[in-house]
Amino acid sequence: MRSNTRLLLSAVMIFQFLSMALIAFSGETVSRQALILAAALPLCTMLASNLLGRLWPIDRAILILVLLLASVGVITLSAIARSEVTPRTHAIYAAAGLFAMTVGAAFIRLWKSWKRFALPLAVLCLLALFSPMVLGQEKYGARNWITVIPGLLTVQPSEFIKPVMIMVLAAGFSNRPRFVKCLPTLAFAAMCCGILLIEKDLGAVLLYFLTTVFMFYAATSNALLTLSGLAMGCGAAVLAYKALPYVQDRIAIWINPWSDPQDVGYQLVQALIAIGSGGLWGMGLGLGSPRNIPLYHSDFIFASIAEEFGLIFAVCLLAVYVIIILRGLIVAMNARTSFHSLTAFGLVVLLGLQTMLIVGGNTKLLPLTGVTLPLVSYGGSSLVSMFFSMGLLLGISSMNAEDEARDIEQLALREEVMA
Amino acid sequence: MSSDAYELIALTARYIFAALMLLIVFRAARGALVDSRRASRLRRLSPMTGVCGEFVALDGGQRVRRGMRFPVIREGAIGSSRRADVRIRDASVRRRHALFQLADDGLHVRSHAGARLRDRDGRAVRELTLGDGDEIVIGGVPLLLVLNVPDAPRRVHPAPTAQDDDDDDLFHPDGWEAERSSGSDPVSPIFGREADPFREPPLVDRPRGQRLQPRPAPRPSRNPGDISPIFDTDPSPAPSDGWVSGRRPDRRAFLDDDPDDLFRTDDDSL
Repeated sequence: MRSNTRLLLSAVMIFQFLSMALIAFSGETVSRQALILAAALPLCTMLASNLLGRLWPIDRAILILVLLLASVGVITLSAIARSEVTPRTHAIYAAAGLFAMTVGAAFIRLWKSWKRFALPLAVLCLLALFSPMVLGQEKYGARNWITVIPGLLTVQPSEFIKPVMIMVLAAGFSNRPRFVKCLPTLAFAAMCCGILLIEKDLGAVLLYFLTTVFMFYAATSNALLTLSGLAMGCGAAVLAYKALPYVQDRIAIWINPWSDPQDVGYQLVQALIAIGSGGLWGMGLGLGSPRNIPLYHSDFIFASIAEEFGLIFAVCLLAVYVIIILRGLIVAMNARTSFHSLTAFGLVVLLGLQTMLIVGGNTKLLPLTGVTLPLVSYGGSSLVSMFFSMGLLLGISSMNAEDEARDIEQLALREEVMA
Repeated sequence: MSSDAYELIALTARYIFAALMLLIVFRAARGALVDSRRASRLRRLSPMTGVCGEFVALDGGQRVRRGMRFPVIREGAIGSSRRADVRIRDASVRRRHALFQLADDGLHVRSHAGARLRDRDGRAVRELTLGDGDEIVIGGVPLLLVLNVPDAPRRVHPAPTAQDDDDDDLFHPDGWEAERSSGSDPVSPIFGREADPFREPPLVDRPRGQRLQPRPAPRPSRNPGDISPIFDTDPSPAPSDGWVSGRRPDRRAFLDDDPDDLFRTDDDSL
């Protein structure tokens, strides 16, 4: 019952091959890693689309667009990274993410008793969020990293908790509960935000809070309580501004980065210069200088993409996110249970909010918050958890398709609908 | 490759990449639009999409009549409120009376905030699992569940015997007669207007304030081997809310806020 995705898949595969082949010849010697990726990226995209599509009736368009975003990340890192280790690591994380996506799709299809496991999952989430305070170390101003293998592997638990938290919220808000019944779920979300605030991960706090508010409104349609929650959040933000000096620094940099372009405002100034340098069509793959931007591979990868590929490409990238979100909302509306509907809704809201926050930070529309561009930025935890989230979304879409096919079969309207 | 050659190729390739990206976005957006239209067409053609069964009223209340059907989705609330997924407009049914959820072993129905729920034997319960053919009393309204889900557990009822045909008043249009809301004698059979063999009654033309209600059905025999227990109901007439006679049910009514009109199955046009 879905549209043909062959042309979409072909266009994505051509883009992946051409860009990696170009990067392979960018240096004085041919890069073997880039040649391998030039073959591997389109092959993996095609295999993932065909295999997962045959396994379950998933929404292939979402899958192909997700793989496009991940490959844009690999391609950009291959073009701009100082060493080949970065894109190679990112590609390995993407492969792990594909596996996580399959696990996510299978998990949501098999999980029936979400109400029963909501409390244990909530406890697990809180413990995982608390673990960096005991086992972790501070990195980039936030204490939310755990070193698993020193110098090799670090994990950010708050990234993995995002999809789990959404499922816990969906289980708590399912079947239109009264406000009193929502209080334990809201208390859980408040505790998560509190732990992240102590760890100084303000970007994650903002994401968790807004996702909770949106999901609460979708579940209860209670505008008064939702607006009250938003008002409380605004009040908390004002308090944070007054009490935390680094929040004041962030706001000051956002208002006028040119006041100190060599020090605190350097990052944002360089990002704006990079976006402007790219123009409409970009400077060309490998011809820009995004390395002038601190954290060009993670927080400011959008500015790097805008410089290398141009504004048209960057806007199309945002359009891809919008299409994924729209299709995800359709999946949420067609879901047959409120739990699946809220889960799909929460996942796309999280994707949209995270994209908006980081792109807004890159373009000086919003203060910088330190979140990553979903599926594109370098970062194993973020990439794998986002793939898992997309796997949940695809699993729900497959259940919708099966129910729809059953309805059509029962009504014997197949020819009429397919005309 | 020399840097000049690479620069030339890279500068040319940026237009190709932009064009490919535009093609991808256009194709994905078009696919989303096509899928959305197909889904809308399916919903328009079959408003019963997502319905896994229905509750059939076994007896009437104030605004509920015997035989009235209420579609059941996978999960939702039963109550008299407009926001209820199964809306039963009866004084004995609370605004949010019970919650239900379809599972592998049947439909789980759970009482909400201590509302009255009884099983087919009349015992008060807080939670109940219903299979296809099971009965439940919500408030004061007895309901029979019909599940359309394959592999749903089914309750086998004894087959009706030949002498039971006369007891089936649901399909006897002569059993229905008109009655004015003021309580005067019934005016005429069927559609609430004076009988005129030479005049074709219009489809929907009923004087304001006129109410229709079924003729009281005779109480069926309680001997073993008799008709199914679903017809063993109190035959006292219940005032009806209105009549949708002669009007084909509007499929889109299912999508509206007030789906009552769709499921008045004692409509002769069905």
